[in-house]
Amino acid sequence: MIPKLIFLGIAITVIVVFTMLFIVNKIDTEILELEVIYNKLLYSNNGISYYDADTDRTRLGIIDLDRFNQTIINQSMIYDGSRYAAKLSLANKVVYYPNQNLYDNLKPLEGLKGSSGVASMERGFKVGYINNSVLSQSVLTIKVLRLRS
Amino acid sequence: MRKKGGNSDNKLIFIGFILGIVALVIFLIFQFVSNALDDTTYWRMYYSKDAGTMISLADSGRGVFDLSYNTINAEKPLAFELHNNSMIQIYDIYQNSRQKDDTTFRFISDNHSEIEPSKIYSPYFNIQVTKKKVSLSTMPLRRDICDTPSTKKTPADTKIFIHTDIKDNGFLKFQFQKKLTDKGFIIARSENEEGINLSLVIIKGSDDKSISFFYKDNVRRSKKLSCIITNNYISSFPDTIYNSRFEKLNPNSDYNKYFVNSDDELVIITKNLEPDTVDNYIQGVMEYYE
Repeated sequence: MIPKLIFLGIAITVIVVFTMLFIVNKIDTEILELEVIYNKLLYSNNGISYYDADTDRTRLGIIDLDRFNQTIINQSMIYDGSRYAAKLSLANKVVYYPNQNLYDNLKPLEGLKGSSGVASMERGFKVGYINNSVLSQSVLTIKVLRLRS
Repeated sequence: MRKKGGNSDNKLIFIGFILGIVALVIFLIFQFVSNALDDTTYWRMYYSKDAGTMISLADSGRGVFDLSYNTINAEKPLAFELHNNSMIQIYDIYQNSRQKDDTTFRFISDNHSEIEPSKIYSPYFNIQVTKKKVSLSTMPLRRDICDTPSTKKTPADTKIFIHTDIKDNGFLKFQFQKKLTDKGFIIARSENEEGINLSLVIIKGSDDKSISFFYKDNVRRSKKLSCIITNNYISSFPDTIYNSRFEKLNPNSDYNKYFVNSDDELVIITKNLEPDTVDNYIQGVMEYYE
């Protein structure tokens, strides 16, 4: 009797698992969202990138160091939630988006698995930056955090 | 002998127990799958994230971003709201007491462009992102590709029962019956007649921008007929319908009394039920049986 019950249990579990597998009700957009924030931080109008008013173009890879500060970055983009935070470092200057408090709150949860954890993406690349009308080179590092729940 | 009888009783109880568990599991699986098929959670999540991230990226550019968007894949019509705090909110337009939830997604927007709050009830709409603003505008329904379950039948073998809005004193019902008879269909004079192939209840609704279909049993066949009728309507009166609804008829609905013994049953609630629109329904029925 017991082996029959075990067999029935296995059969029911297999059916339930297969049924669950065929029903998709979750979308994983974690990486996409991190990429979007990363790209927005780089390319946003009136953001940190150098904007050439004559050609109406944002120059990729050239950072206007005068604009690389907390006030400008907060003015360029609006975010009303508390799921995303980012830290940008360039030439010994560090700025946070939307603010350091949120970043510091999310940081300890980084790498934690499950819905209470925080996903992160960090990238650095060489950029030119204009400081006092002099063009220099350094590595811009952007770390983006995203709360899963 | 007593011992043998006891064993066989135990065996019966055991088999009964097993069958009970299997029946319960099958019932729960069916319930789960049925809820999942009827639920729009996935598509609400999908569209909110998709449109939100797209607006967020488009907002970073300096050009004009114009996108024809649609939410037609969802099982039920969805309302799409854009709030000025960079939030997209999506919910079922026709909510029942069981599903009264919505899905929201907050995206990062640029400060230079103002978000124009909008509510969209059509599955087709336009998203425009310019230097100054982000806005949505409704677009009318477009022709859809219909499902093709086999429904072929000659008019001479097809008996149709039609009921129309009682407010028209039977004038439209007469129009329907006459035109269907001219096409060779057999008309059932009462819903209680035997051998009815299609029962249609056509009602003029108060909503002037949508057409709604309520089926009783056969989903795929009913969906095909409703799709054909909607397509014909859109062809005859383009840019007039903004929303289409296709749902199972409530078992307590009054319209159930017209569906006694029929292969296919459909209630149509339409914005415009005038003599010149009758041809759309007739044409739809003919295409359905072609």
